[in-house]
Amino acid sequence: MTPTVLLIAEQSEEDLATLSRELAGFASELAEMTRCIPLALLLGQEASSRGLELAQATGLDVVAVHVPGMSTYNSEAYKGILQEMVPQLNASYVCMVHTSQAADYAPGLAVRLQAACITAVERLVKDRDRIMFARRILGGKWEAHVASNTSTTVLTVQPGAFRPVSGSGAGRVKHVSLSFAPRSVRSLGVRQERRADAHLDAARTIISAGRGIGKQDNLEILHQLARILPNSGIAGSRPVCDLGWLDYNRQVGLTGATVSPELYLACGISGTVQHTAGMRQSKFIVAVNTDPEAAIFQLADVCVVEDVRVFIPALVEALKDELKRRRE
Amino acid sequence: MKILVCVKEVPEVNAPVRADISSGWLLLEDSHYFRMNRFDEFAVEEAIRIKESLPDVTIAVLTVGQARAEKILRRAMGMGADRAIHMLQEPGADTSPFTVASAIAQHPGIGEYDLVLTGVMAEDDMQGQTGPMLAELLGIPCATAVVLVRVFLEERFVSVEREIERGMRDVLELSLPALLTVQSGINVPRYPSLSNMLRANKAAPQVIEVSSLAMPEPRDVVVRGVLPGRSRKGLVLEGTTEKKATELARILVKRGLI
Repeated sequence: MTPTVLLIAEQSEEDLATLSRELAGFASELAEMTRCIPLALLLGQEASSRGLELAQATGLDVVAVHVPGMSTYNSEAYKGILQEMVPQLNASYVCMVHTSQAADYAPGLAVRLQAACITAVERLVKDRDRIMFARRILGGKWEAHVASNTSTTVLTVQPGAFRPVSGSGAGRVKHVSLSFAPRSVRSLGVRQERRADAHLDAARTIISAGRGIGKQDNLEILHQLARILPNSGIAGSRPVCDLGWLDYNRQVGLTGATVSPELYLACGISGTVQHTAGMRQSKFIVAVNTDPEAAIFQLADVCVVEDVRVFIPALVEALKDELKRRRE
Repeated sequence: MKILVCVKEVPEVNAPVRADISSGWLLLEDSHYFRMNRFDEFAVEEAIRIKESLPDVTIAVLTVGQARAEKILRRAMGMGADRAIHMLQEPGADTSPFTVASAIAQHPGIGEYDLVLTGVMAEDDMQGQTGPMLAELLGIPCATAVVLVRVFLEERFVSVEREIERGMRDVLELSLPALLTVQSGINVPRYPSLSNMLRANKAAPQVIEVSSLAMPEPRDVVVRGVLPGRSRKGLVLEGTTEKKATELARILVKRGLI
């Protein structure tokens, strides 16, 4: 049997199509480099019906593993079942999108498979015959090129980093049924902790606060700017929400909101991948940060090396002047 | 009840990082730039809160790292941990998650703990793997990105909530012993107290040389580090604050954003 690049799709309803198309884009690229066959796998009690959906979305052949009674993700079940399936499917690479779910079980699965595990991969790099997986380190300031020393490698892929495959006919679906009863991890379901994002997707401009604003009171500076920019909203990075300065429903990034406004103004945000995953698709990005090496500048259209607490009031004045000039 | 908290020393990533382009790697020798991983501070704090809410809890804090990492063990004791274990590594030793997890798994007392806590990831390598790999090596259940913990010691389980996407939480129970990786925001880590710091300065950590252990071969290797390319034009505004502000205001007006 030819070695495979095995992609594991998520059970989650909303993201199945989008995320697995991106993952298929990555898997196809890797499969071509390594002369493997890309193959998709889906687990859960709905696997039989969703397998076809996955085969249509990705164009890949799908192994649909029906697990009676498994309605949500369970780490013990995932690791137990995949430990069995991965060698059967002769997988050289096992890959999933870097979600909260994949981050939960990928490292443990790798230990069971005696495999290397490389998370949040953004790029494939080939140097002579060596394949390396590029991922961000040090708050996104640097990119590390990581190589695997093992015959099987587990990879998680950063959302938004790879081009999705476009539809080219559906693959075939193979149905498998397996039972698994977790003993030490009991899943009690998921619950909605907070309302979805604070209508951030409707805003034309998003003014986003990072730790660089210094203290909660300084948010007022951003509100002053928001009053001038029409249809704008205030958002923030995770550390700002952790500090309680903003509600979590204004958090942009992984496990928060994903936005793509006309203008994203990053104020005192360093630009870790956890944050940029949620805003990199913005049409125009302006970053203000005191550190000229801040990772956020790598994806900004306009870079301002300044302290936000000084610069934003100056910008408010400059915009007022521009408006006055326009009226005259 | 015994709790183990695993902590890591990381460089201050918001400080300018000097790069050695010829060797393709970073220069971070000044110990001033090293501190406790912020995610691990949340784990230390969570352990102390459990100790404050239940009788007979002791907290051990462990790090795998160079000699200078002793500083973060003292900080954790200053916050309220009872004892410290330093698994000492030579400078330049492999620090990949599998290597670190394999070292911790060989700590002589590792089987005694009811609960193992650590941060959801390290700020420097951002892999988030050491915790779940350690759980697997110990054969105990694991939950990552935990934002709520309730310990039921007599019933031998822990009830947790994991942060997942779209404002949702994954609710689950794990049998003890278990390992949890703690997400930021679960609590507000306290500052070390003076009396605890004085105690910490008297108590030497237990030292275990990692080189004396039977360590597995690393499964992955960082071949090089590079400065990432820019994905956009990145026009850098120059001049005084006012000049930059005026230029940006004009750009925003020109793009019809105001």
